[in-house]
Amino acid sequence: MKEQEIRNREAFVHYLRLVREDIANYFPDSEQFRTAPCPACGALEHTAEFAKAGFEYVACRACSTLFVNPRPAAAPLREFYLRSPSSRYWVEGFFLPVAEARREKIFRPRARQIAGQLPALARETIGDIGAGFGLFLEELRILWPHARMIAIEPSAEMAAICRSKAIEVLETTVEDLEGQESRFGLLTAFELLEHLYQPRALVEKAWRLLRPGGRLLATTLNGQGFDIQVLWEQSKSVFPPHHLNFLNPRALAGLCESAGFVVEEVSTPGQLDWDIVEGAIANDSATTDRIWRLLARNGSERCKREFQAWLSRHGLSSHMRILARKP
Amino acid sequence: MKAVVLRDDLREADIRPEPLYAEYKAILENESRRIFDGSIRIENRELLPFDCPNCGKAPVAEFERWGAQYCRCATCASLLVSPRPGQEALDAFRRESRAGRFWEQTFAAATGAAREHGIFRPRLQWLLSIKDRYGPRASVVADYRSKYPTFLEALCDSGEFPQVVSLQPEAPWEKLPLAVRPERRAGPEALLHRTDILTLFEVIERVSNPGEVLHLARELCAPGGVLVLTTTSSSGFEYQLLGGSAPNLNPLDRMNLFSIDALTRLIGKAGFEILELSTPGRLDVATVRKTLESDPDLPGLSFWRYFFRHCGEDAEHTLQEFLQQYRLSSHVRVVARRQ
Amino acid sequence: MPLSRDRRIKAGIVGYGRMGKIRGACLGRRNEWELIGICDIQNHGMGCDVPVFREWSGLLSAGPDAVFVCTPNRRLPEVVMDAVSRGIHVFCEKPPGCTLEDVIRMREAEAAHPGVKLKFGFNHRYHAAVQDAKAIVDSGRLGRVMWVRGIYGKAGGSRYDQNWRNRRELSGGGILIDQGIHMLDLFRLFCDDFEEVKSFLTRSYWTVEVEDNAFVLLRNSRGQVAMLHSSATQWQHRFMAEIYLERGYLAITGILSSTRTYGRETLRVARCQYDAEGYPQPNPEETITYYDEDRSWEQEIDDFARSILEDRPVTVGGSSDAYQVMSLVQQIYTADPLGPRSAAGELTGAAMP
Repeated sequence: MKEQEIRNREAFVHYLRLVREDIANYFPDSEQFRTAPCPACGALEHTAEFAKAGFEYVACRACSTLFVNPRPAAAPLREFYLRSPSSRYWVEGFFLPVAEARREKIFRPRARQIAGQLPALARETIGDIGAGFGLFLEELRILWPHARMIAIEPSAEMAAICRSKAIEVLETTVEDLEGQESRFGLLTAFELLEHLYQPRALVEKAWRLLRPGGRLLATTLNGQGFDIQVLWEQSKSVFPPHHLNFLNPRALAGLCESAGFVVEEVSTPGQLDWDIVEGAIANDSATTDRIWRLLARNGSERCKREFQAWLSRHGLSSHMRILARKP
Repeated sequence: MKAVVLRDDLREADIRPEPLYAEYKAILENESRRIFDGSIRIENRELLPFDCPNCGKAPVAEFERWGAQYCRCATCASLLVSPRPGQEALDAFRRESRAGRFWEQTFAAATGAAREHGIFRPRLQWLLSIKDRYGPRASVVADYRSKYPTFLEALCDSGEFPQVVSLQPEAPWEKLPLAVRPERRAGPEALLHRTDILTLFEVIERVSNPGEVLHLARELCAPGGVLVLTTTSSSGFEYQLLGGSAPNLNPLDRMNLFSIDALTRLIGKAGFEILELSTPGRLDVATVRKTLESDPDLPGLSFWRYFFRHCGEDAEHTLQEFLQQYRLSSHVRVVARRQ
Repeated sequence: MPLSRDRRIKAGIVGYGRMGKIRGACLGRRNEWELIGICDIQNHGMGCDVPVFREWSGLLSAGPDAVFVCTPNRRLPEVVMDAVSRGIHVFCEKPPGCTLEDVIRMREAEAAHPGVKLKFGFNHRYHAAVQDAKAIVDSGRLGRVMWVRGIYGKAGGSRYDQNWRNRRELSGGGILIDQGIHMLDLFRLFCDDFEEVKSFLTRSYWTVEVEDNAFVLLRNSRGQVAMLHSSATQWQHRFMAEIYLERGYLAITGILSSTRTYGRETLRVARCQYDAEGYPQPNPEETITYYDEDRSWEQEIDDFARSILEDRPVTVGGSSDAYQVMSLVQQIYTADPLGPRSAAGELTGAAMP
């Protein structure tokens, strides 16, 4: 998979510009931001790393999670996601044109992997937190026709799209979801934890919503992943106010364990790290260590492919996945 | 062209044991500073600017190390000391060098068994495989500017090469801190166009004019003769990451660190066809780890810090093998045939 | 008659399918050769800048010094024999015909025209990993070859069941004679000729009249044993040849084929390491060589050119090699007298070509 296949570079750049404009409108006063402990481990000690678009990024001294601190409160963040022009563009200008490519490259393989890995859940109630267009549930429904698929989606617009695909919807944030305790066999949260004011709240809520033996499956950004580490503040993945939390395999596992889960797998199956770094060197003249410029210039396709595989194998890709069981 | 990967258990601590290595480095640093600041009195010690022998351009200053200025060629990315002493001054210096004596008398003696196991034995196997593949009838092997007399003896003891010669351009032999047996000693003129296998082990990085040495190599080789060369490359992981903080960067012994591109072109330009170009180094990852552990303030490299803290031995091992496979280790070896 | 060294060898290609085009492209890269015409009955040669003949006799009459015969197996012998009888040097693709009888007929023609060079396309001997391995084995440093083991397999391919290679009358057999023959040729490179032959031939997946898998055991009078698995149901393409000697081993994995689907060509070499009592320890240190480029096609053609220009005998892929390897193929087909069976165990007809 190549970055360009799932992320049109120009649309992405335009989107980032809109985000910058929205920051001025939705978060005009950083005085209103709140100081927060580490979103993964709760520790208070941290080291300042860099500022981007007026947001300060710090690294937790205990678990190395990179996070925005101080950060906007949950309510204005929610407002921003539901109404801002950049959020709208993300749906219409950025996501929709590559939606089918994403279905094929991301959601279908993801559904196949889960169906293969967790066959015992095939007839259970499945909840996708932040279901968006419902692509994942659509794909999983093909494989698990007897499961009950529920989209948990706060956006009225997205909820309507899911309903139009005959997917049952709970139109709320998961944190606000009431009366569904121990109902789900599987809850999924794809690329969500990095956006949240309090990822811990989601993990803890998921624990309550799952039946004993049920699984939480989440993907998020790994702050210790290759492209983020190499590009750091130049990384396009590091963009506030969207991406507030960059956990890492240990921090994420620790978070789930402290919420009562048994972690069955933490992996970094990302495929795009090298491609992102190479693209940043070529298109954005990103400054990196000399060795990455050498690899970009002289490395064969096979060499780059093997390097990416090595990154993924050793927990060094910035795309991270966790599977946790409620005992 | 092919690339070779070695899977064995060579460890830096075996061939560069502390505190002996630190002592050697301290002597070396002291001597290096004095030669580059002019406080050592030797004839013709004048330092001259040095252009990249591959591109012909003046390289750009990048960092200072032990009194020497390392510059990088903007075209081929080789790292070169400039200005630098001429060969005569270097040879004169080496004859008198305390570091040289320490190496020969103390360090080499203490690490002899480890070097025998980790370096000379594989090197001998390598030469035998070169003979089998490219020069089955090879009889004359010449080692230019020999550094390890014991290796020459091992070469002789193999019984595979009727004539093993150590070539030393400067005279007289008696003054060199090098225990090569008299019957193996010769000057280059003795073997012009007669050498079947010419070895340049860690030579081109420590001579004042590497282009000239490669030209001489061609003159020494018989038609179809094979050049066997090892060196250190600026394209390698250790130097790419650590630059001037690389712990083994010693300006007198590593005056020329060519990039892989530059090395390929230089050897080709000298009239050789490259048959193998590999970087079978086994120490880059361990060296970088050790450096990061001992110098937590080294800027950048946060990805690697995390890597060494969390990823474990298997990841380090597979990384080193990856570096070997794609010619990204700092230790280079080349087999080339005189055209 | 040897050609004058200062002139180029005029070459023709009979059969301009996939192999013909590979040979043609290779000729274009070598100075010693000049392509003067091709022959192809299916008009594959349209757009070529040399004359295209519909009949091979037309091409042979156009005055080539040498021809490359790249037709389906059944056609090879008659074209080869016609060319040889006209004093034209011949490079013939493998397999050398459909049967041992075909090779015998070609050898008779060759014997009647001693000046003509006849070479067969056992291209794998020219791969760098194979040549390096051969040098190591021949040096004797690792002792005597005890056994060799080879896997050569592909996933069949698009319309595999409709390919002429699986029609016995055109090809002489299935995957063994098409691809496995290369591995048999390599076995012969590293060991003495084999006398004992055992085999199982199966038709495990494809609806074809020939075998899609061959499992073969060979032994010679020196006690060297070779095992081959040749497969058209190897979904992940695979080439692997292991050579185990008294004091070490060599393993070639991957081969830089024209399709580039068999993985990076790699040679692993290890010398046994022994414990204090002299017993070999497991998993000795390895040296692994990775090969970046495939010059086998050029080297094969250069070798052929040298044979012609310097009037030297063909040493690799000569008719003797062709005879020996086809003799093995024939014995393998004979050794499983019931012939290839389907997955259900049903017999699928005579195995012998």
